[in-house]
Amino acid sequence: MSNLSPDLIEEILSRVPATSLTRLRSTCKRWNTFELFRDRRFTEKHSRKAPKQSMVLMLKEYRIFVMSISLNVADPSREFKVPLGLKDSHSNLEKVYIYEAFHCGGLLLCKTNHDGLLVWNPGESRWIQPKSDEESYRWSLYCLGYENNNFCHSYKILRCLHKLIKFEIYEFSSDSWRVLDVAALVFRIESREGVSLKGNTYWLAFDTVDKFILSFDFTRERFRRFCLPVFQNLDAMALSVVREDKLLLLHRSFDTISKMDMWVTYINIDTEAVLWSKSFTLDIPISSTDGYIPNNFLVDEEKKVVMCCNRSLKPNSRKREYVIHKYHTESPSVDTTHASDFSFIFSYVPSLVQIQRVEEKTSR
Amino acid sequence: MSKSEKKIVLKSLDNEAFEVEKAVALQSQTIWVMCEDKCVGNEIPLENVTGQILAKVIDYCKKHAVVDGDGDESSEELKNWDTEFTKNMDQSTLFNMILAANYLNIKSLLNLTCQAVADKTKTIDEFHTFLNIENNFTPEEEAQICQENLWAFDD
Repeated sequence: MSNLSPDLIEEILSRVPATSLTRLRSTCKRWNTFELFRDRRFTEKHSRKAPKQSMVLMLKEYRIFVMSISLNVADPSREFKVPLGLKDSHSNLEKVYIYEAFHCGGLLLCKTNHDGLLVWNPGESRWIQPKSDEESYRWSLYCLGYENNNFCHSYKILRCLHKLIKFEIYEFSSDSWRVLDVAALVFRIESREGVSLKGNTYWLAFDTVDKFILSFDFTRERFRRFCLPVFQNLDAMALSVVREDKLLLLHRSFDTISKMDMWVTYINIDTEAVLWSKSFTLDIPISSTDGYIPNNFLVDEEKKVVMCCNRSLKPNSRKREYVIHKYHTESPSVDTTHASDFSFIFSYVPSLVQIQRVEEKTSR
Repeated sequence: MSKSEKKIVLKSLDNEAFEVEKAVALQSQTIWVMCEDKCVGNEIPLENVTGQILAKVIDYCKKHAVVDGDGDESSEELKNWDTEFTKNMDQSTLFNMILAANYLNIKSLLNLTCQAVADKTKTIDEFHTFLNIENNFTPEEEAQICQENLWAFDD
């Protein structure tokens, strides 16, 4: 029907979300060869132009599931859909257990039991050897980031060894790890689940005196500290990001049993000052007040919904509680469900960004 | 400058003539180059665009010329106008608009129409229509690939 030239077809396809292109890929041999997915010029154009469609993923029972959240007032519900097809040509992923997952700029980093770290997006997947013994691998924290230099993101992985005594950086271009020249940190990260914003990672952290935001700047390869809003009680907090430009902080004071506050800041890794402002207040449902505090959360600004993953205050408990809050509405309905074992929700924006290849070695 | 110099006549493939302000027509790089060349008179033949499509292109250019000129209308309003503009166009009209925007070299219109096709193309059949391709998998192959990419098929 159309007589568009290949250039114009490419112009249109670069504006189609990655999820739809994946779907398309599976219906025609010509497209299934990934010819377009493999063309760096196309994938870079695609990452600039295609709408960013965020999906909610849940790490549960060592697998990643796509979640669909119905916001029907009468019956808000979550549903665990099919596992994400972490397709890989040479291994049976049925047997791969995912311990931790991290999203940055369209790529998923999964810490697995299998062959080390898996970096994945709908276009390709890559295994990375952690080059450490099993014990040290299990305890290490891995996160993905990129250098903020130009259009083409230069991805890296940061490895934080147990107790933050030593750090290593993995570079995709050389497929190798190197020790990072920074001093051991004298503080602790509150929750292993950091968030990624513009290529840098942020965590809630604390030392003997204070709580603050710790960040790792992947461009300069150094840690930074940012202050939190001034609270009378620090109590329970969790971090999230929205639309790749805002950092959100959920704060629950134990003085006010039924409410918690959402704070927001447009953080810039290059400046010292952080300007926080209170965005809105959430009601805590009666069903949820006992023994759970926010662990992490996701915000959908369009639907005005916060999905909160709470953790039990009991020591060593892996129990989680999921609460869906609606805000800026006259009848804030909330819904609570309990999950017996460890689980974790995060958002993912499918992309076709290419994982850098190892540069050709000059001698063999 | 006399009044006639400010106007320009665009002639479509099917010989339909449109008199427009020069400022409106010059949003097309192709027309701009033709006018610079001075080898054309006041009437510019556009051999790749039908009158029906050219009328729409001119509507777009008029809207955008006015806004660029006085800056009265907010970019928000312009965006809404753009959305309305492509909203009810069928796929074949959009393809013709893309071809026209490409031929006339109007970047913003090309962006707008390409995005509109991208947004409207949802089902596999729609993709196949516009890509002019056929599903050449056997049912078994298709089932297997669907299974691997189940997450993407779900909405």
